[in-house]
Amino acid sequence: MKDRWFEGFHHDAREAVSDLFSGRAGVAFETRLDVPELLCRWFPKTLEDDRSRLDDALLWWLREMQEDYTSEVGRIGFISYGKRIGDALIALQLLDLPQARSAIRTDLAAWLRWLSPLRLAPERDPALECYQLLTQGQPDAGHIAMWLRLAADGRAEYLTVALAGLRRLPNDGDARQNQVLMLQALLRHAAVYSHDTGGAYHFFNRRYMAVRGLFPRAPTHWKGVLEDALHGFEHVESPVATDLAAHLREKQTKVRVTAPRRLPQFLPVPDAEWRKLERDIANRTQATHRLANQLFNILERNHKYALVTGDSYNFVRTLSNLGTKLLEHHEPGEADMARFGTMIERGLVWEPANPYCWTLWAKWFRVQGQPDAQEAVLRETLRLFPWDVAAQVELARVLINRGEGYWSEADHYLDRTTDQDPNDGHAHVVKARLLAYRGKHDEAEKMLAEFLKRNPGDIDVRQALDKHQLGAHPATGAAPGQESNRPTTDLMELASVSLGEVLRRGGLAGEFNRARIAGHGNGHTQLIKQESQKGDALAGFYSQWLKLTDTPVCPPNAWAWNACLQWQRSFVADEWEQLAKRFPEAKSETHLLRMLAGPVSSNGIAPQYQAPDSFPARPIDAIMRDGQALLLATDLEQGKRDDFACSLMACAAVNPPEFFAYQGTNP
Amino acid sequence: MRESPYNDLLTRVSRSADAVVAAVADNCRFDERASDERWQEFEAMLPTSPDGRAVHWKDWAETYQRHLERSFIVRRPSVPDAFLAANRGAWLDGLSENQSLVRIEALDRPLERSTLELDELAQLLERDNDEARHTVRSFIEAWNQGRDARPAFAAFADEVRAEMDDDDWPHMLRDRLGLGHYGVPGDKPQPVALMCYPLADVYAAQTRQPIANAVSLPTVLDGGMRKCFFPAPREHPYGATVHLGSGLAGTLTAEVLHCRIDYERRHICHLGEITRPTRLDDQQLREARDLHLYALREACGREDFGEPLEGRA
Repeated sequence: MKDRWFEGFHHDAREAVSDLFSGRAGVAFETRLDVPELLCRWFPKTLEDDRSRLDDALLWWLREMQEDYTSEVGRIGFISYGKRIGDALIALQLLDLPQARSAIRTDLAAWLRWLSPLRLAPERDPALECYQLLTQGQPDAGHIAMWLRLAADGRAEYLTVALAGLRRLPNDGDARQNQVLMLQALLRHAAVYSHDTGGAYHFFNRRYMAVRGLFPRAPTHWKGVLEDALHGFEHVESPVATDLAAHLREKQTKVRVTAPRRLPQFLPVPDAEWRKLERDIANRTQATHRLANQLFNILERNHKYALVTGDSYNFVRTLSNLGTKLLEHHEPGEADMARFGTMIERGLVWEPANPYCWTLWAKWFRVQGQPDAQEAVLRETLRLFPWDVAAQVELARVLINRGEGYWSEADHYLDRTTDQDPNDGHAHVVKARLLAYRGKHDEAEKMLAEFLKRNPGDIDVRQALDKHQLGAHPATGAAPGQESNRPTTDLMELASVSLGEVLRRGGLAGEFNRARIAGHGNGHTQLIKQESQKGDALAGFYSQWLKLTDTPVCPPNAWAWNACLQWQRSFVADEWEQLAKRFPEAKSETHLLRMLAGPVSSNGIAPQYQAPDSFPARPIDAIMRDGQALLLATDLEQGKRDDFACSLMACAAVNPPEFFAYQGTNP
Repeated sequence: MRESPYNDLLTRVSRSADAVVAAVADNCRFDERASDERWQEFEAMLPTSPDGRAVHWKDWAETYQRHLERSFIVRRPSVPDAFLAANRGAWLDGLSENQSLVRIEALDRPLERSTLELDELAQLLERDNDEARHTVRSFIEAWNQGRDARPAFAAFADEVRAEMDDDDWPHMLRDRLGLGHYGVPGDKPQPVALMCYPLADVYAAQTRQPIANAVSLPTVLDGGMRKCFFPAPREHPYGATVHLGSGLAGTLTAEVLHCRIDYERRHICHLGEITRPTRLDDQQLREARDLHLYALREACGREDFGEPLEGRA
């Protein structure tokens, strides 16, 4: 059987691999081994040429399976489809094949988008196998943020892979960084592992011992490593994390060994240094290029600190704080802006759930004169943080400039903003501009005047009203598309992998919003249809919400898509319970949706969900907190319930980290 | 042989010059334990043609793969068909808990997942300190995380004690238990663990899950469409492994299928590598299967059971 299969393999490797996975090769008659173990036996390192062909064939087969998603799922079902995809990825791991691995690494966003919804169980999780594959042959430290995020996932198997990734980080012969980061990963997992400090401490201690078993070193060494890990853990904000850190520090002080002094690379830039730069930026005392260089210098040092400790706090805060100020007070040159853009993407790699990074990125694109990218970033910002007032108004402004076809959507965001905050002056100014474009000058004036009665001190609105009264308002219909000078397709070609994914998501969100506002589902929803047919979880949710015809069968691990089905078809409590059981990681979200779906009984919500008080770890946490407050505070009308449910599910449909999974460390 | 529209296909294929293909067709023809309900489920997955004429052997192979994926190599917490009511006829109840089972586990995946080499794991198992113990525990936890809920083939420890205690246990047990998939010519070494655990642990796992049945007799639909499996007659109390040693296929060793258990450190008996291939060419396979068939016939007093490969047209 093996000989016959190899004959076929030498004739057409791709077909042979395809027959192997489908079973047509009949290899299962020969052996009880699964395909990965079988290939591992059949392709020892000595068969270099054959391994290279296998590498190519496996990558080709995976791509074919992705391409033929709909037909293959229809033919063999999710169970076989997911199992075979997972097996192919495991084969790449066991054989240590570099070509497919490298291709996956450079286009990780697209791979995870396809693989994540296919998870059926901890041992049947193609995305997890993909991550495991990337633990091998890491070219640089570009995955550190990703490994730490995986560790902070509550699922044990994700911690296992994260630890493998950190253990395999290239280290130039010095394993101390690996050790610090592995402890950092354990701390992050411990903080979500248990709701009480005792449980978290017990877990950490047990796994800490296991790491020490891998790196036999003296107690003094480990004391220093743990101290560095704890420094890096300072900014992980949750009650358990804080207590755990305090408990470990207390224990540390009782250990009668002195830790060596912390090395310079394990220290962030001193506060005084960046405060001075903050003043210099605000005072405009130096040339912009010089200020930018100083900022980059601080950012580089803090980034290095993040790479060795896993703590991105200083890097991201410097970026969002000083970076925003630099953009507001200065006009950096082309080269500085390019470097700045790289830094922002790095910031998002570390903290993709940080709204300030998203806002900064949108600003950066505005300054760069790239409205398509700015629009996409704002759309993704609003998917993650649906009630971000500034982003809504800014998106409305961009949409007004795109032309009349987008004005209804702009209206929608402005109405939403003024509904949230009736005293938001900027929203009123933009709204007045939109009214003027529509020839409704009187209405614009009246609206601004009424606003000023309520807020007489708002200078921006006062100026806008003056302009309108002087007739210096925008001409009727004069706005169309002047900012849309670079079509999205061109931009897609120029875009980084991260931006490419943001543009794709932005395109989906745009179609969705326009269709939703227009109140019909089957209009311009080409991209949603196309992407949902590939099993994309976000597009699938949008398609399901709009009840588009030909919405495909929901993949097993797409909570929002599944929840949307549930939202639309049944309010039966048992079915919500089943959904919560199927998706234990989204239990709180399911529970809140159930509350929204049925007659509101807010009493049941509070004990079920406690969002972090401080900066939430996930955007969904902030939405949940708002949702809980909303339910408790008001008697919600159906439209608001729908709106909230839609925002909640859209946010949870895909994770923000997925498209920032890889970013090389070399600028 | 049960009534089936596919009997002609199986009979025709069982005359194949390819011993592996013939062996698999024989397994389907000879099996007396898989229920009609299970067969019907399998046959319903075949492409088309209720009369069986348009179904080719490759279709059969492809269907077998899908059937395995759906009903045997199942994910947690699903229950394999072997332990569902549809397989009630092959359930094995009333075994004494006070006995141990053995099986060989391939370690490629858990070693990769834990970024350990086999010798590192072996050293950790030998080191007598807390750190090493916790590292081993983490390894086993990760291993359990990655294992699905497929049934485990296992033999009884007291029956294969001599092989277990032999320095060359990987090959001795591989041959005795009929694990033809371990050791193909040209292979790289196969890291394996000899797992030994009380049957009581299996029953405890059954109670925890919970599932209706924990131990059953292997049938052709439980991963039995392969050359080194041979279905036992209904009179035989257990499954019977095909010994791969030259001239030893008449040695019948009891084997059962049991539900998944979480492994623990105490279950790891030895670590080793399979480095030598099994020597089972077409002719040797035919001879071994016939020898095994004669032994089964004799053990069960069933001269009508099965059909030797020798002399087939």
